[in-house]
Amino acid sequence: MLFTSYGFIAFLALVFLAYYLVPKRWQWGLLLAASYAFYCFAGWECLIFILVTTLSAYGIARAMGYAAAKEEAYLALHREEMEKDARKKYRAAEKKKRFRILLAGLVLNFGVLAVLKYTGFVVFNLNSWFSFGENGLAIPDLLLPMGISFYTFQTMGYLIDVYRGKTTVEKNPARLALFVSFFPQLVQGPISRHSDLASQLYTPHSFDRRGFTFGVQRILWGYFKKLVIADRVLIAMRTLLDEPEQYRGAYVALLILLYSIQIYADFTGGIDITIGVAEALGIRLTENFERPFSSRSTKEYWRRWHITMGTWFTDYVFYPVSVCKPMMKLSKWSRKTLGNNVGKRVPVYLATVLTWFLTGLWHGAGWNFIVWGLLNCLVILISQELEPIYARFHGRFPRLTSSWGYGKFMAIRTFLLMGLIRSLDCYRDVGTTFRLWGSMVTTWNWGELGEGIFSLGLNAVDFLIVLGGCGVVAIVSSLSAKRSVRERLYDRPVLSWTLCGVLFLTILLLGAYGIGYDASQFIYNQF
Amino acid sequence: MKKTAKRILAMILMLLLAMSVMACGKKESGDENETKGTQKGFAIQIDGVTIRLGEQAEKTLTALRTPLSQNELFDCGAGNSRMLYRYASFDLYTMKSGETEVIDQIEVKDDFCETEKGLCIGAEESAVVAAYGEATRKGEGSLTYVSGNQELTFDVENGQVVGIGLLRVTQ
Amino acid sequence: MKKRILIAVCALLAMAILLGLLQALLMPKYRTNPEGALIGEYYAESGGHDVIFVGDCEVYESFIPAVLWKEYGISSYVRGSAQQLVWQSYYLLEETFRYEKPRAVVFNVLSLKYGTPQSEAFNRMTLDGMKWSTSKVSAILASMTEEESFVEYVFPLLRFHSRITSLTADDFRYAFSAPAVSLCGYLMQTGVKPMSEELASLEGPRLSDYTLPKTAMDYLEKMRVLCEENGCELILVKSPTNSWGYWWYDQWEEQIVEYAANHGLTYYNLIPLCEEIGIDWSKDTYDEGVHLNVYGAEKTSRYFGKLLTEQHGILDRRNESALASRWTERVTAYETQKKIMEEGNER
Repeated sequence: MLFTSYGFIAFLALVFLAYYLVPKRWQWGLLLAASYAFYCFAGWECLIFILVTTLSAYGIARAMGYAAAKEEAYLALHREEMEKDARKKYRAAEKKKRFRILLAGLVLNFGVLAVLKYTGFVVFNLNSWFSFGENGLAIPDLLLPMGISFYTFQTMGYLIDVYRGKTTVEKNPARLALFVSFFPQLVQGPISRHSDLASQLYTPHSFDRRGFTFGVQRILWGYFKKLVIADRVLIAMRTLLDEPEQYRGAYVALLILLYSIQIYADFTGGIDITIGVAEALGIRLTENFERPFSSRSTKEYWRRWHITMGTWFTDYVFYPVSVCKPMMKLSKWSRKTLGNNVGKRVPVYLATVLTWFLTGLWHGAGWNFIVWGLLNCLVILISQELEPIYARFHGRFPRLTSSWGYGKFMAIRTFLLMGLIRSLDCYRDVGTTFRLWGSMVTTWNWGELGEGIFSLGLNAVDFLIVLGGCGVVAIVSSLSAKRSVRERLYDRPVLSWTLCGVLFLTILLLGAYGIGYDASQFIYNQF
Repeated sequence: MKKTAKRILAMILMLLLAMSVMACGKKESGDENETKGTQKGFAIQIDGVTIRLGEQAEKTLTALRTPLSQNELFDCGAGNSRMLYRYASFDLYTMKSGETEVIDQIEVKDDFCETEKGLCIGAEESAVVAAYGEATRKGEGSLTYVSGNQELTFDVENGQVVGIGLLRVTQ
Repeated sequence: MKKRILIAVCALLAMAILLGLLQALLMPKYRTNPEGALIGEYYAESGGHDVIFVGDCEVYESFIPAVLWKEYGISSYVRGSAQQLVWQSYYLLEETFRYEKPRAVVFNVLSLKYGTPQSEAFNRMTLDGMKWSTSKVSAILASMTEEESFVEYVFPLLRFHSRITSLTADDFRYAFSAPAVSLCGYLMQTGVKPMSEELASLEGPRLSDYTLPKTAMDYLEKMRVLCEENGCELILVKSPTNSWGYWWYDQWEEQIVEYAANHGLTYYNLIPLCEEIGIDWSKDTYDEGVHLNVYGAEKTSRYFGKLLTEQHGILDRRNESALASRWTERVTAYETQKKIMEEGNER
């Protein structure tokens, strides 16, 4: 069920109504039923996968919890007779056991994800590199269950947190099922932590006018970004991408700009709807974006864009990899062999490369995604190496580097760089992307862009609407930096209702939905 | 514990296998067409020009001589036009939508045209069967062969081909 | 708290009113493409008709109620619309019987070639004009293409919202009411674009399957039963037009003849009767033979009116003063429009 379908709006209305009418102790059960009903709309055959993840996570977490409890009980019983070393040895051995249990859960769930999502990619590449007869290996047509990337990562995060002792074991399988399948975030995140979300999901919620109002306003805001801006821009983007070789030079730059607008509006719009729905139910989800286009560096950008994905990879891949025993050994060896300066960088950089490699792979089963991840990594590492030079420059020209203009320059530079790398997502083919990047310099057709821009499926009015929409988003974003716009309006009901009415009418009248517009899915729906 | 680990690993592998099997997508039920007498795409050849359904018409029309006449029927509901190009030896129908025009149907009128297997008007019915196998559909005085959404029909009278038609089947 | 509730109620009320106004503004007015306005015009003229015509564009371009009245005193109405599908004809008829009980229903059989929903645009032109009823709901559900959604018929604003950037003066002028474009359902065309000899010689292209779809024939049967239940005679007709793009195949003809014979219905195929009707394809068509213009339609109406009177006992009601008075206005309107359009053509 697409967020932008009439069915979803009707579904949402029913859920809201039922949620606040049923006895409070039934609320989380209702959410569970609603989440599974929502999931079934994607196809009942997908249910088995989310059930496997839920039940395996439940079993693995309970097993780890049981092992941990057993360990504590044993130590409590034998505290007097055991020496410190023996206790340490015992703990280490028990931790190893718990790790093996955790590993089983990770292998199973990531294995399922890997098989379903990457088998085709692997087979395709094997066929390209090796000869397997006349037709090569058959590429299996595997079902990709809705949201599998998101719920797998969220659930595995829960298992790792249980292992680390950062969250409690969920003893009720139905409650865990709700954590795994909570419908607003199932399709595109944010990736929540069990310690943050769980208690909110199961706690009874009374109807809170303020929270509900804020939630609905946020939902409207999400639809505005998605339907008025993102889906409108998508029309032009489709024309540019249908025959990419026909649209070279200036058109590539145009695509980069349009895609930046489209993905921002689409993704943040979807997240706004997600967070708004949860907020209306009295549940606060983690923010996933924080004015990313105001970032002045790539590092900062990735702290503001798809925040929960970034922190997931940092907490569960980067840190564990960079401090694991083999990496410690490598660090020791590289300091000895390559010198302290270079040696200390080796484990961090290796962990960074691995993290970004996996981040790219998570986005999609294709070389373009892997190259996208590694390019981001490259930019970050180069920036890190150039930090001393930047520091010297900032020290030499403090007035310039602290000026408003310099800040804007850095933000625009970051925006363009990220947009350039992001275009790998559009063209899907690495060779084509690099070739078209080159055409921005070799093909000089900026003059024809003035007229050509109106042959992409959008007329002047459409572009005005996009520009206007972006302007409104920029203003609201800027105002929200100091204080939430919703909070500013809350005590001014007439203004609040008027603006919401205008927003609603804008979506209704200017939204690119319905017949004549393609009902495009959110960018991350395939996840 | 080693035994437990092995059991867990075995369980995981079984589950993975089960998941992969379950994940196999349903095959399209177009296999019903892959029965007797179906071929992989048909064509009509005339004067060295091969005409296939679904191809862009521009190339083909350029390669062929100027038609004797052309007629357009605009379907405002579907937002497209049907074009009929009349040649001496055949009639060519296309579907035009905006800038795109694709070949939709061919009706052969004489023996200057032949199918991709060399059959033309005047051929023996047995030659048709020898070339294309058993017909997907046998009507009164016609043999029809189906390939995907294409149908090649031979009108037969007294054991001889008197007409050939190639068309796209739309829903 | 009370203040907030009051503000909320006022805001919602204001929004509802505004949405109603916007919907009226954004609905297509069908001034330049008048085919979409036909169905909705029936309700102002409903009642007192002995013959109702249903079917596609051939019906509203071939039969003129004003001529039927003028020549034979037959009170009739054409509930036709562009690419009207047979199930739409059925549900329109079902609705019509709630307004009146005609003596005969004439159905143009060309639409039986369609067994599945065809086009959202044509669906809209037929269905948006219907008043809300169970018949309309059934017609929508039977007609929706895959891309359509029922809620967009309930709230047409959702379908036509994109017109906000292309509104014309007509949208404002005719937001709440508009003058009729048809004359008792007949859409007048006075232009002349002859059918060439070449076009006349063309036949329809080969088909994969000549069997009329079961869905279509099922609805025809439902129509027959519906007419029977309402004490009305169902007459099948094929209009005299037969251009290559809308060819009436012999195989279809056989099936209709058989159906009519099996169910005791009368079926008139007017194609072979063109000469008898007096149709001149160099003068009586405005689009090279696809449809008749007013001159061809007058001839067809005269011919068919005779059949209705002599073969089907449709009465001459010119002696009923109230009805005659109503029809005098309509005939005058018809003649006036014809004159205006002819003068327009000359200029």
